[in-house]
Amino acid sequence: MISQNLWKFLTSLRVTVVLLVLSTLLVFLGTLAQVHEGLWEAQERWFKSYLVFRREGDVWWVPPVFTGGYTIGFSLLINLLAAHIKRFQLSWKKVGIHLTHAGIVLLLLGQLVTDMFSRESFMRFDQGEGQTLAYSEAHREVELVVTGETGADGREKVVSFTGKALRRKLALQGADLPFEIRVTEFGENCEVLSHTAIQEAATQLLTALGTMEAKYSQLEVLPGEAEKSLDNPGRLAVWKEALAAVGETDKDIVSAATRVAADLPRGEKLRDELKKRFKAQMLNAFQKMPPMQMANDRMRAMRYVGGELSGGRTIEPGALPASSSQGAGQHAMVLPRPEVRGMDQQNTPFAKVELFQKGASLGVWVVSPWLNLQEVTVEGRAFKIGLRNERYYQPFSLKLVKTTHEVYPGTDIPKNFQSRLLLENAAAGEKREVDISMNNPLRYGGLTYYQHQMGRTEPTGGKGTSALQVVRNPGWVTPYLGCAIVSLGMLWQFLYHLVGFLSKPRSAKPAPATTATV
Amino acid sequence: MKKNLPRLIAALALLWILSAWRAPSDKEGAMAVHAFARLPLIAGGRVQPLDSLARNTLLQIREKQTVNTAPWEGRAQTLSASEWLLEMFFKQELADTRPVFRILHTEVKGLLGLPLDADASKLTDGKHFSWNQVAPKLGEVREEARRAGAVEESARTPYDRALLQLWNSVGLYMRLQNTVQPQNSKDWEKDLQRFVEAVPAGREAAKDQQAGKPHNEAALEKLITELQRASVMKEIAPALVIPPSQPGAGVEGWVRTDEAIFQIARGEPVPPALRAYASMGTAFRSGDAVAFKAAVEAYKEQLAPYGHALLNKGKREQVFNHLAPFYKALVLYVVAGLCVLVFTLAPGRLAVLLETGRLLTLMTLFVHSSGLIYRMVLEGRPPVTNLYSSAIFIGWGACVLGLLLERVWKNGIGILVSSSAGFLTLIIAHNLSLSGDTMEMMRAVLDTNFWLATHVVVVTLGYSATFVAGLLAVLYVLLGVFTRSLTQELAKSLVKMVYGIICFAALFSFVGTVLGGIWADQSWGRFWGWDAKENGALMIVLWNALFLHARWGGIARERGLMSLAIAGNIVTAWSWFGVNMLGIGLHSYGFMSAAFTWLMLFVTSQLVLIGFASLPNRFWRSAGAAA
Repeated sequence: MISQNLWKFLTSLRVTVVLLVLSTLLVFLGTLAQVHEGLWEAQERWFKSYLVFRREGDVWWVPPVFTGGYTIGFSLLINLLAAHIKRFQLSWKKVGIHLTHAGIVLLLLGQLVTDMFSRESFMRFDQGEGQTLAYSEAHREVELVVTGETGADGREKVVSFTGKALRRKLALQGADLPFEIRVTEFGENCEVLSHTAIQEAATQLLTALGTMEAKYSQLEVLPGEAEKSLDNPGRLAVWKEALAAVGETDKDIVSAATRVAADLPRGEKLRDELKKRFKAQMLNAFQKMPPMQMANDRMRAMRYVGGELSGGRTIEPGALPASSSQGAGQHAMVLPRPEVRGMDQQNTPFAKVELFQKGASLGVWVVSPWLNLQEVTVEGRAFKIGLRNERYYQPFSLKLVKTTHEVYPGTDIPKNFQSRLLLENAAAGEKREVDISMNNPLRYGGLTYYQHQMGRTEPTGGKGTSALQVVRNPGWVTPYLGCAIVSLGMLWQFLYHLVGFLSKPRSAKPAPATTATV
Repeated sequence: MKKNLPRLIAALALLWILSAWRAPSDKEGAMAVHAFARLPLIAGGRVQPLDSLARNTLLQIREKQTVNTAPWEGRAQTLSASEWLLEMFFKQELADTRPVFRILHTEVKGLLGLPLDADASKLTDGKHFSWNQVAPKLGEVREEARRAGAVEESARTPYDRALLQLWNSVGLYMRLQNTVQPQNSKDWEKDLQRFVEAVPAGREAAKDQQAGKPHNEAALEKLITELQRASVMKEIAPALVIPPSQPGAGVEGWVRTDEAIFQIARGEPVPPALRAYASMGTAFRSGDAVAFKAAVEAYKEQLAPYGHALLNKGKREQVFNHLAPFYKALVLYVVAGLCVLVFTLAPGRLAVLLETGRLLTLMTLFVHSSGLIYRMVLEGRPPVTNLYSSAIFIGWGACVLGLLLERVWKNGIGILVSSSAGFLTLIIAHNLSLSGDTMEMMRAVLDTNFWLATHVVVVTLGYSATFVAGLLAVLYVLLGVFTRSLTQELAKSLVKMVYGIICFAALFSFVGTVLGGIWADQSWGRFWGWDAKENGALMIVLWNALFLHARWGGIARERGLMSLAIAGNIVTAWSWFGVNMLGIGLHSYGFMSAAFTWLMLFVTSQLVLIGFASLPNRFWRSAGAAA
């Protein structure tokens, strides 16, 4: 009885309709969520999940709980298969419906395969034309690598540990490494500031503040300073506010300043007001430096210094804390930052690792993609250690020969992005040039290369840079097949009914349509 | 007579359209405005006639393609876009008195110190203002525009948006005035000649100065003054009017007037086009129609070696602008729709109206299709390349589907669908055209005619069909609730129409979405990336599938199905416009606030209709007949 009811439920069209309503809603909510969570995060949370729970910081429309993409997808699959087993009927009339649904099953399975096995990475020719690469890099996943030694084949040996292992803080041992690595700390996002940059920024700010303080310590300079501020809107505003604070609302700030300066208590008050406001303005200017995605070390340091001082903390340029006992962290501060989401934002993880040789600590290193690989010498063997975006090596290389970046004349609408590359595969004896442009990818070695970004770098003397997206998707053929089958099925069904409908003699009142059931 | 009346009306409509289907010609003895407006230039990366530049600029700053020179006087005194362009180029003092800046926001008027209401003594109707009225406060506008521009798009207030709109208009205006000569040059032909003569001495002086030798300061000064004017023009980045010195250099060889001036300063020969425009200016200013025509013809002669295609492109696009097929279609749709509406409300008596409506709709479809095809030929592209053309095409598809329905059912419903869909989509298209050139160039990633012709066309037809189904359901509800004309028979046929159309919609949206997936797989390496626009298309597919399964399972009855079809309108509108407003994904066109308000109104109206659909029988005037 129960199983009969369950079977009825599983094969019910009502369930199909409910699932379709849920999927429409899910797609809608998952699209809206991209505004706040970014494409990647929203995908993981809404579409590649079983259940979506409301969490802190969510926008008002997020429901307490919602069915995720996998739940709906699997339910639809079960419902579909069950219904077909129950009602299967071999007839011309049903061929279209069977084909359509078979194609949809294939599409759902194909998407699952893609989710599980496809991999997207990037090949960044950021050194410009002439650069050769034989690997692509993950967009967000990182790996801890130890390199430095050359193997028997003449290539550099690379021992790598996945981001997963780092997050679990496992003790890591490489096959041929004379030391063990223990992860003591891992963070998803950080900012790295070199001591030098902080020192420079702090010195600059402290000097400027000192000069300003000194300037306004004398009352007699006030009228002159007021006059100098007349044609600088920012300074003028400060003067007006400060004068208002001592009860002067005269529009002519020079004569107001002269009056106040002649009156000792009011003059001193004005002096303090000015100092206070100019200081705030300077700190603010430092803090307002562009956000940390900016690669400019100096600007980031200025922002940090401005923030510290306005938060009432002090900075000792001569005694900045080190982030690690060894390596680059000795001369830099690695500041953990909250994870960011959103379309154009990227996290930069970091890890602190302690190396042990036969149980004895060699010290702590801090690693991050912000920092270069760092030297470690153990038993006279020189290694390099670092955290970098996960690399996928390929048995052939690509060299960026030429970049083409065209816009329509008189506009900045891009007309063509194109990279010319030299493909070299020694094993296959191949060496040829290929072009990759928008809508014209290169398919080679089970991978597909797409033109992703293009630019020009200053440091390389204006050489064109290029980034390719590299995709491996073993399930790529399923959507093509699935779609062809569904389209065929729908077309069959549509034409079958259309022909039936049109071939019937029609009166003003057409005959009732043939009701189709699954 | 009664039998022939519909044919007569349709024939008149056809005549009205065909009469405009030719290149406009200039009257003997009058200024050769049309011949001038046909001249080609490069704007927005493509060859277009001056006529298009003038119309597109006017649409953006005045929301019309013509200028009313004294709107405060009640009667219209109109300048065509090309006449206005001539003034903008060559009689700038006069152009500066023309009220072309459309400013509605009171706070923006406040900032500019402009009268809020019509005031003939201040030469304004309270909505349109001239450059001379705006210019005194340009500094303030610039400051405010800088501030408002820094605010995130979705956080801007209506004032911010109105102000940025004005700032954009100011930029466009200056761009026009700097196109063929520096702004405010009173006699450019003379100025140009003086500059050309000053170049050799100036260059000599510059060389001497660089070598540290004593130099002719006056000569250098003269050169520098003119180059400074050209530098200002460069900042404004007007359209490219000077063809390359060698014919055959292609579109890439064209330069702006300021670039030509710099080339002269470098010792290169004076481009003939620069002189040609200058002499047109002199003739126009002196009111000498004969000399003006001669100057235009002379320039055309100069362009002859550049190939027929160039001049033809200008001419063909001018004919298209002049024909204004979509505007005419809009008018005809209204007439046809009204005919059938009257017929529907008073059936039996006015069969002649139904016939008139049918023939007019057929005629309109002919105009609509001609416009569509003309555009495709002009652009060398499939029908849908941007949001504007999608509106045109959705209307076209809906019109065809409506006529097919009419052919089968012959009860006027199909005509109502055709005419109302055509009307609404062309209104939308008109509003979209206010944001600039509608034949803009395609960015590299979209630049593939194959996918534009397949994916985009098919998916857009899916939109058309879903909207037609929704429109039929809306008719069902309106006729049922507010009139007695929804008979049982009509209700049944409406349900069947909706079903048939949704089958079609499901097929097309599915195939279209899939083709989009394949394009994405070809271009970016993933079939499905949950991009906002992809998701929108998927939602239409899901919704159509939902409707079909609800019907097959008998889960929703007549009115339930009609509500689902109306909700399909919401889903489709979301996919068409809504997702573009999120500012995310690959199809993002930025936040369109005006459109957002309309979208919300549309969604609300559809929800109200769904509410009507679920009212109990006693509120349905057709009840009893329709239950």
